[in-house]
Amino acid sequence: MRRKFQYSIPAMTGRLLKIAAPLKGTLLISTLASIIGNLSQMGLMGFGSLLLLSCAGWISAGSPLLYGLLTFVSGALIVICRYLEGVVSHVGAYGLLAHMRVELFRSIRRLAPACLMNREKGDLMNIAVSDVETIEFFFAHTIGPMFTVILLPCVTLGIAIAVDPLFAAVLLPIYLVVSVVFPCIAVKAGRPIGTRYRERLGKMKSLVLESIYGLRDIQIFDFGQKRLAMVQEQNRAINRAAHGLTLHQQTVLAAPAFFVYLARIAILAAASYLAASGISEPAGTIVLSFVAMASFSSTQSLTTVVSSLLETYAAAERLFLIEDTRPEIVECEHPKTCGPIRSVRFEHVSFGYPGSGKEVLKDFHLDVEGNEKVGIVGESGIGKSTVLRLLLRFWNPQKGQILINDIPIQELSLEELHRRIAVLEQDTFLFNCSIADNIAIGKPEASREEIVQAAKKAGLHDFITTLPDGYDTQMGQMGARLSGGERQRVGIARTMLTDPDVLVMDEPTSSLDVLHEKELLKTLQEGFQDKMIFLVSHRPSTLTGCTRIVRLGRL
Amino acid sequence: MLLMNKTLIRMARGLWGWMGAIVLCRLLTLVGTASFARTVSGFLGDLTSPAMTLAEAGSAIASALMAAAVILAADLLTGEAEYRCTSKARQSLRTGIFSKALELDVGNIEKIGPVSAITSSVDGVESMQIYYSKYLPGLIYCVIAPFYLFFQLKDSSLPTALVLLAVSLILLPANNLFRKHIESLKTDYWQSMEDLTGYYLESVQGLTTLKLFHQDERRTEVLQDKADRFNNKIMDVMRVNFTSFLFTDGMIYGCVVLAAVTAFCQLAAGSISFSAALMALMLSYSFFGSFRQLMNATHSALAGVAAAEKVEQLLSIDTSRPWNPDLPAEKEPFRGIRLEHISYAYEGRAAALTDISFDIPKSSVTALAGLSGCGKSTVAGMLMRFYDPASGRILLEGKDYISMTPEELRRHIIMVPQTVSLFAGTVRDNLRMAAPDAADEQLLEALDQVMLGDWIRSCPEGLDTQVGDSGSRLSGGQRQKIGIARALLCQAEYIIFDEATSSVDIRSEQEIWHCIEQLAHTRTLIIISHRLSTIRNADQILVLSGGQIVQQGSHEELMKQQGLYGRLVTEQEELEQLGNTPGAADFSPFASHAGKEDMLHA
Repeated sequence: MRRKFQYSIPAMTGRLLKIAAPLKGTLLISTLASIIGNLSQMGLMGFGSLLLLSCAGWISAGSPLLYGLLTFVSGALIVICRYLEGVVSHVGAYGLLAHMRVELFRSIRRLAPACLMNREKGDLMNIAVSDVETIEFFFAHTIGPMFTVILLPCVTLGIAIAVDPLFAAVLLPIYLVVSVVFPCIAVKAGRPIGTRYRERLGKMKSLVLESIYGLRDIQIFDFGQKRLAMVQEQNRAINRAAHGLTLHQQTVLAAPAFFVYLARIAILAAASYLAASGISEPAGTIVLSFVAMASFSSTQSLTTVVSSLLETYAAAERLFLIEDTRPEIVECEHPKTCGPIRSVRFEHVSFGYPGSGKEVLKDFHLDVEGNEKVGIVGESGIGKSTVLRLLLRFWNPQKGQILINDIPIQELSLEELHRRIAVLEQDTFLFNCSIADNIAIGKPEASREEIVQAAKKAGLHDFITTLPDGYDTQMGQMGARLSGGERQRVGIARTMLTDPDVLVMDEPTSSLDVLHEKELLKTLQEGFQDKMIFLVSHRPSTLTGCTRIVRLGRL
Repeated sequence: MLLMNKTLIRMARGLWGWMGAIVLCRLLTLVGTASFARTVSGFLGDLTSPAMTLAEAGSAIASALMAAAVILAADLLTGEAEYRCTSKARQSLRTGIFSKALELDVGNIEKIGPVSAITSSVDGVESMQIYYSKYLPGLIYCVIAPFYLFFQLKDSSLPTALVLLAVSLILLPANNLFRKHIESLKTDYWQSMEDLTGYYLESVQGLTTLKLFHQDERRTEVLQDKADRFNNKIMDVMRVNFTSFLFTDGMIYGCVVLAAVTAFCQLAAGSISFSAALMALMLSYSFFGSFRQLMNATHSALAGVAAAEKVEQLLSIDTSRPWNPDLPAEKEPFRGIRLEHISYAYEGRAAALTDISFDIPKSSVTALAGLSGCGKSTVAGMLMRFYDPASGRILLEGKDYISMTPEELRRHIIMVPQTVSLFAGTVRDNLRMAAPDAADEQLLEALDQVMLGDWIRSCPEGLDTQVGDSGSRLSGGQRQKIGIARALLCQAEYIIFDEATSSVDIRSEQEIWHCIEQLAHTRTLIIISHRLSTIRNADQILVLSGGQIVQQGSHEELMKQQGLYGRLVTEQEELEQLGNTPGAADFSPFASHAGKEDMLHA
């Protein structure tokens, strides 16, 4: 099966270079250092052999002292340049990475929440942390060596011509293969291999993540061994991909080295031929032979370039794919302001989740005015939550429109929309910070007093006082210390703290006991008397205060 | 740099053979390289003497070709051996880590954080295997190679050979001086990486909330900050790393220069031949190849060592549970589950249960009631043996819980939690978790019972419908219903429903409870429900408050006592009465309103 790639290699290289544009200076220094360092490798061997030759009296020009000095200078330059290249390129590359990582989050932000519903979370993580790090290679280790791969053979060829054109003639095809043909083939052949490996690694991450979050259910049904088998199976898949990857890497390492040996043998053969023809160039042959040996360092660069390019392109492709995904929702350029919300109208709204092919809502009508309290009921999966999500503009309806104060929802800014419409979700997400900060998520500047007030209204205050650090108690990474009801009440306190015009609630009482449910309803009656409320619930008791009930059903 | 890590070495069991193979392959490459150098320097030396014949040149070229072919073959073999080594390492490491993760209980997960578990089992393993395939063999090779090269070189130029050997022997220990410094930095590095990763994951998962409260921009700023901090940490490590590279490079290239000068002096003194001088220069250049490769591998090995420490932390968590299979079963066992003087407290929180004792008779329905936080779910966790009681004991039909492994126990007792977890795969896969051999008809029947039958039949893929990552393609109610169907399929004798239907729509809820009632004929049920009407018919109701049982009896008995239960029931009835006012009195109260707002759906 042939994989299709979204982006061509030149296009991606161009894009990566564009990202690197602010770092031109840094990149220039590191590239120069890389080139000088590698040229010095040839200098070291070339001058070293000249030193010996001058001692043996095979050459007349230059003194041993000069060649000795040049050998030393070459050695020193190698060391300095290698250090310089390393430090400078890494400073630049890592600075850039911090930027890219945040940019990626911005992209996800732009696409959220729609994209989060179908992209596996673990995969995103992989892209964010590992893939971005992979791209570091491009900036730190690729650009310099790319020049070297071309430059070193050229210099060797130049010396060869100076010694005898025959040497150049035998070396040229070998260098062409090693510097041009081989890298092209290697990159092309290796691209799908690298992609496959990374993808499978991402899948593994999702698998493990899901297992950890679902550990309780796994334990209930003693499903651990099956999950383990799945992990092992996925691991075998990774291994298969890694096999290709390792062999490819090793070939990329071994084949150019082999070609350099061939080049050195070709020099011997040419020298023999010349000697047999009566032309003796011993000094030139020896210098050339040593310089060719040092050009080995360029093939090592080549290895790095090819294997890192492969991983880089695989990583960059996924990164660009996310960046280029068209968001479901585009913020209006010149948003209108709607003022306090007085009316909400759904007109002939039809909607189906992208990719599902099924229409969830069809020609849906709803007209809500003033401080109406609308209860929405219906079977699970019938589209109750969808109505709320459309009102919050997670998606745009495919047909029809939603009007707020007679302004199409698309013409309002999301900021205003979400400020005026507060939402209480089915499951309240807790962040890994103090419980006070979790309550104040919508109003970070809120005073402790306000937070306590909100918590009291939500029936959470008494619970918080039992926690070891009260309002400053840190929520664990999974918020596992809180029961469903407690989490829900954190969500209620959040909405209490902001002052919205409209309150949208999705099963707000599903995890509350009867006393707390009653408290919440009381709070809603008191605190939201003059506000519009949309309430999805299957509990008749929760729908108590509703002035109108809307029932969703199948045709 | 010398990076020896106890954990990694301990986990290397079974890999040494392959590591040895890698070293052998690389030694073979070395033999080829040395023989190539000998041939070429011999040829070049002879080039200056007019005596060299074409035949001699031919044989030199032939043997050089031979050496090059050997090097190529040995290189490729190294790759294969490295693959074998890594694939074995991956499999054994991931199996070990994941098996451990499966034994963790909820409290432990909280302690280590799920992110950490993921990093160690996915990224960590990938860096750990580099330690085995590149670093350790490289290190061994690095110790052997200089000696081999010394013997190859000593006849050509003894002083050069001695200098090179001496330097190669001090390079490793000298480099180690940097190690301590790096060690202290890399803990920081790893921590800030964890910090960034955790924060990133949380930001992505909570993105919907963040967007709704317009906190995503602030979050991005903090993220930027953390990303910058992480980069600084990397740079700290890198800087020391490059300084150590500078030092090593200085030694290596200094040696090459020194070798050239030594060879020159010896040649000038006439103590060695021209060929030997060339050979000395050539070999000195490739003498330290092993070190350069090792230095390259060190960078990755460093990550491997850090990962190994994380893995070690995970593996060292004590997941052992009290287990005493020799405990005798009671002679006259109670038919059911008996809890005796159970007390329990979550770490860092007040006691959740205090000295609770009660019986769950077989083939009956036991309900737990009380306000949230009263300890109902803790009892359920105890019965499922997610936790072990701090004191007291639980007996299943006369057998102490601790005489069984948790797995044995859970063959008898299962639970439907408030929020079930589904796993990426098809609906069928998720249902078969509980009944691996169930036929499709049975699965459909179970789905019918939870009112998902029509839905699944309307899906083009039927039972093969994908549920998405953690069931994300389904609605909350659908997920929960599948979780309940899963429990219905399971053959366990005891089933706990812990607020199992609280996120299910009301019509389905009724149907499901009807099903659960049917189930009561054949199984023992333990029901926790906020909706007291659903537990009215339970054989016994236990009312908990503050971690203690405050009332116990049937609905009628409890209603007679003027207690918490009666109060809760009255409150709920009042509320539900209120709830029914806008509509009709029964569960289809909204039918009359359907005319007013008619919603039509495909």
